[in-house]
Amino acid sequence: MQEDFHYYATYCAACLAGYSHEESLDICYSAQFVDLCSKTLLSKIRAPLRAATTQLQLEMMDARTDIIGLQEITRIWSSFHFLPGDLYAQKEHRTKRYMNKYRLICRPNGDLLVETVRIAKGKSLQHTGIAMHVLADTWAHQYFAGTPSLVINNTDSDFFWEITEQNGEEVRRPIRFRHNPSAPDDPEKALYTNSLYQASENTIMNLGHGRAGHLPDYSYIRYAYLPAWGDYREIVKDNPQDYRRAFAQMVYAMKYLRGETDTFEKDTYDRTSVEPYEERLRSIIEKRQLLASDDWKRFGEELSGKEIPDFSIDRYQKEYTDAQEDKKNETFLGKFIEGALAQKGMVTHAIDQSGNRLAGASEVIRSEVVE
Amino acid sequence: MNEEQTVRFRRYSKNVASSGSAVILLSVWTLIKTLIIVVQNWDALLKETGLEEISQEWVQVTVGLVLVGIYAVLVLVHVGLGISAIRYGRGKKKNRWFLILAVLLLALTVFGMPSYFREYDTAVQDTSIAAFLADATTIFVLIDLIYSSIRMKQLENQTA
Repeated sequence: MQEDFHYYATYCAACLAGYSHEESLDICYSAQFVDLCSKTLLSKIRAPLRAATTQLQLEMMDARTDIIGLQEITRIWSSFHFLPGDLYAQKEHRTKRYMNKYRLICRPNGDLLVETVRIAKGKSLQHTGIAMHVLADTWAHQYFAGTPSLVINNTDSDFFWEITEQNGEEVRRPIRFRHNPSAPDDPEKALYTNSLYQASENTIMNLGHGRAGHLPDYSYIRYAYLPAWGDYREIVKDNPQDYRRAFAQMVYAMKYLRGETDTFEKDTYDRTSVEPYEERLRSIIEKRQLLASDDWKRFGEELSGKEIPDFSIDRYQKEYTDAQEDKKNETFLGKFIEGALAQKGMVTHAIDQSGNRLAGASEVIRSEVVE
Repeated sequence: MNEEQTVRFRRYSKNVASSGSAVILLSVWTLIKTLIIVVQNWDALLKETGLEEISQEWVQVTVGLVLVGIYAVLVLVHVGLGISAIRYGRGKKKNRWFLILAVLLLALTVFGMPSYFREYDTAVQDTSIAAFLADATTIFVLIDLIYSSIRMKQLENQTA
């Protein structure tokens, strides 16, 4: 997902969950910051590099693709952007090496999602924001894995169809891809940019949903495609429906984190809170636009009656750099870093415990899991 | 088609398209292999054909060009077969005349395989093994192409 959902939609969901304007801002800022907290940024503010929640394109270009490098990549992307749906999934006639990657495929409503929300309970708002980012991405990024893998993340470029409805009937038109990152995607012509095909299994081009371009991040689009892991079975990705579910699930999760409900369960959504705004949500989500920030922002400001400032990556950096060493944990970014380490440690540990070494090893210290 | 048939149909059509690409790549191998054989054995070739005694160079050159021309046609046949298979696999073409070419090429390749098992100079053993493997791959690719095309047609007929 993009800034429109991670920042503005998360703010809206936080408001509906009962958080105040200021609390909602902290949550949504943290949710969006997950997409920006790279080693480069952490290095700049002299924060722990292992708290990185993303990798910049330049960092990935320089990344090693030996086992150490792959573990580093997998730790970050699986923990924050492609949370595995089932670490114990089964598939016949496949090697262990294949299954290690297959089991990292992101899906919503997995056990790791429950754990993600659970470990944020009683913690900072920043940790809540991180959990909401992870939750939202399980919907948008499902069917792709947070590890570089041709056999999992590749797609059939000849079989990509946009599905629309005309006169009550389903109509399909082909989606074409080009390799021109500087040219914007063109929804009217169904012309999008994706990553280059590279036959090497572990190349960065085969990380996540690169082969599908930004399609998973556009809320308006429904499309059918053939993923490499799918054995020629078509996957229909209904982004409008998935985004609505993600939103309703975020409201439910944040009500749990606020203490309004006692449990967080899979496949449960707060439709009651969302229902009065169903039409409004539908109009935002289904509008054919590459970025829905303005619409989400307008909706959020109507909900709270307050202005939502634009996202600024620099907002809390000075606070962190100026703080004393023993006080850094009390700053905004310090709390974010704590939440990021906890999330990354939890996911890495879970992957390791499942017998999969793709994210490296982790150990449990006392009752907290660290990387 | 039901879902299972659709999945199988997609698999076979992908096989046909992939095999078509492989045939095109293997044609490059055929051309290179032939050029190397002709260049390396040019003198022996002239002697065998009795052209060694003809003093005019242009005759020898012409013969050489004709040989190259024949193999260029062979390469074009491979490429034509490959492109047709790719188009058929992608659903952009309906007729299957390329299967005739595929069967002919398969037969030619299979009949040429025994030549790898006769006695030869050990100095060229490595190249012979490489050539054998390449031709074995060609046989596999062509069989896969023919089989998958037939299965595609069968599935289409089942649902017609």
